[in-house]
Amino acid sequence: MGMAWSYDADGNPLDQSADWSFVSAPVDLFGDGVGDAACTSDNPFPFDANGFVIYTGVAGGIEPGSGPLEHDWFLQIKLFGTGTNLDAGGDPNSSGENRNAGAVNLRDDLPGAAKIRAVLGANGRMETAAGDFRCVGSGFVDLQGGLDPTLPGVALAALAAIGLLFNARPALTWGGRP
Amino acid sequence: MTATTSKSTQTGTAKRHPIRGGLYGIVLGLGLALMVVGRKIVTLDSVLPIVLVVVGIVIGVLWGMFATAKKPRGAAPAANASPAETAIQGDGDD
Repeated sequence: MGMAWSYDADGNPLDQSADWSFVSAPVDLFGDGVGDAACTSDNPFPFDANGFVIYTGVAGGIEPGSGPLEHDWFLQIKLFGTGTNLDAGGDPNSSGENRNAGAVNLRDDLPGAAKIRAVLGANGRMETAAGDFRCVGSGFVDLQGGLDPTLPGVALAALAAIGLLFNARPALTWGGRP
Repeated sequence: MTATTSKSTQTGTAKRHPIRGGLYGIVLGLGLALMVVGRKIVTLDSVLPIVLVVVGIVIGVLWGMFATAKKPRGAAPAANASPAETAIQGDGDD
């Protein structure tokens, strides 16, 4: 269970989603698609590449001290059908802590080359070594960066079209001479 | 009539460019892939961008092989030109 708030570079709220239970999908609470399932490909969770995200979460049980012990976790994005790890870690969590909250400053933490405009698939997993706890999640985020691949794409397609038309067509020759 | 016959026999060789077409096809596929990702038509986890690049390569190779051939530049050489004049080949890239 958990909640996430996304803000743009000026501190204006972009979106908010909440996962109210261990079994149901997260729900959109703010902006476009309020009440719909959140983090889907049709309603991805927006991130401003220069903004920040605040999150809270509960793992394990509701009671204090019931958090997962000796757990490992990873977070990855899916690129062209394959998973690429963004981050991973683990914690003995000997006190059984089951709540966490924090913030991610995307302006500083996201590399400049990754600040593109695209919808990304992401997934993550947390599980204990003993196998008594396993949390798996996946969803889509709308990364709103300044690097728009559309214009370079148009330029490349135009260049290719010109090349195909004028430089790659078969050519008849006068007895082998162009 | 004589000129037409001579022309048809001397333009029988078509120089094809499958490698050049394939390279332009990669560029075409990359461009289309960037466009669909940038317009958020597909997500980055989709294999469609890879498919577009492969389709671009196929289109480029087929275009370089089978597109309508360009006509040769200039006038046809004389029918009685020496073999040394007519045996010159093209740029020889592919």
